[in-house]
Amino acid sequence: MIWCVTLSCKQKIRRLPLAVGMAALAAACATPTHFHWGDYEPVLYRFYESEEGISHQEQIELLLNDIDKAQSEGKKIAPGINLHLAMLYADMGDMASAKRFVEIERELYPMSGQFSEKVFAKVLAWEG
Amino acid sequence: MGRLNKLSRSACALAVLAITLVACAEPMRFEALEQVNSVRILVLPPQNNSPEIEGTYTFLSTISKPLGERGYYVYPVGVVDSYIKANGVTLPQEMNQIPLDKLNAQFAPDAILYTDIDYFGQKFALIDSYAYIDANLELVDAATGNTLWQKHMVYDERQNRQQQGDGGALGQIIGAVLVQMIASAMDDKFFNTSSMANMTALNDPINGLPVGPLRQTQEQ
Repeated sequence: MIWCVTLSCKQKIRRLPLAVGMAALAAACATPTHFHWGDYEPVLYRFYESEEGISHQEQIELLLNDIDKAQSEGKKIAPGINLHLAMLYADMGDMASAKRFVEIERELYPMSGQFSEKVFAKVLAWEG
Repeated sequence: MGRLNKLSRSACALAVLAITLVACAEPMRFEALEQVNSVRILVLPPQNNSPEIEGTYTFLSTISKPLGERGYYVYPVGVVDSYIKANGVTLPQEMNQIPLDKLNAQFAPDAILYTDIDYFGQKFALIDSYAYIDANLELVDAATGNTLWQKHMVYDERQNRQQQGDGGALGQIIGAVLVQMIASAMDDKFFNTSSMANMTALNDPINGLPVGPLRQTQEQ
């Protein structure tokens, strides 16, 4: 709609700033995200929706897939996703995997350290 | 023909004016936030005063991405929620009453995001119904309890429809959100609405959340 208006503008001087403005706006919108988020939020939505809404296995598959995608895009996986995975694995009794993902998160985001020491205390204390 | 031209010319002038206004408006400064180095944000489930119960967790599942993209380390909301529940606090209202020192001892956040939802859902007008969200977001310094940033967020689907029709900024964002939705039978309408609302509120050029440490270090 605005584009049509732009084209019908007769005075070039008026057209220019608008075109530049719109181009800048379009460029700003096309800016890719800093982190790879993938299906994390939809997974959370279904995770909360109902206990049965999405199985642990399904969440794990989707989030592992996102980690792969992030790598192939050369992007950092978004904050917290590794910890969500760690929680799922711990719930399922796979402490080795849980611990691995807590450690990956700490490497990527050192500021997660204190949080994990409390919330994942049992996971971190686990010795295979 | 002449009339149409005149009309489109004034529409054009209006659009230029709008863009100029946006460009000229000074972003607000949040000095308290600038002074503390907040990077770790604990998001508590919102206090939901609307009759739409699902608003609580729809909001909670759509706030990580906008916060993270703004440059903050968001504690994983699902993990936090499960952990608090496992420790005996099950209702969001109760979670919002947990004293700061307890939250600090458990999670060590730099800041805590509290949210009050006043309206979340569909509004019914005479000829139309539309999604509407009205909420207050407040970022609090975990050490002092002082407010670091706050925002009254109002999202009205009718405004968004207009902008989408223009193929403008919001239309593109919502397009991106939709593409990312995983195939499922869930009613995703409010997921998208809530994503849009949060994204728009945090990125507001005037009083959105200032860019945080994660992005500042990345962009150096």
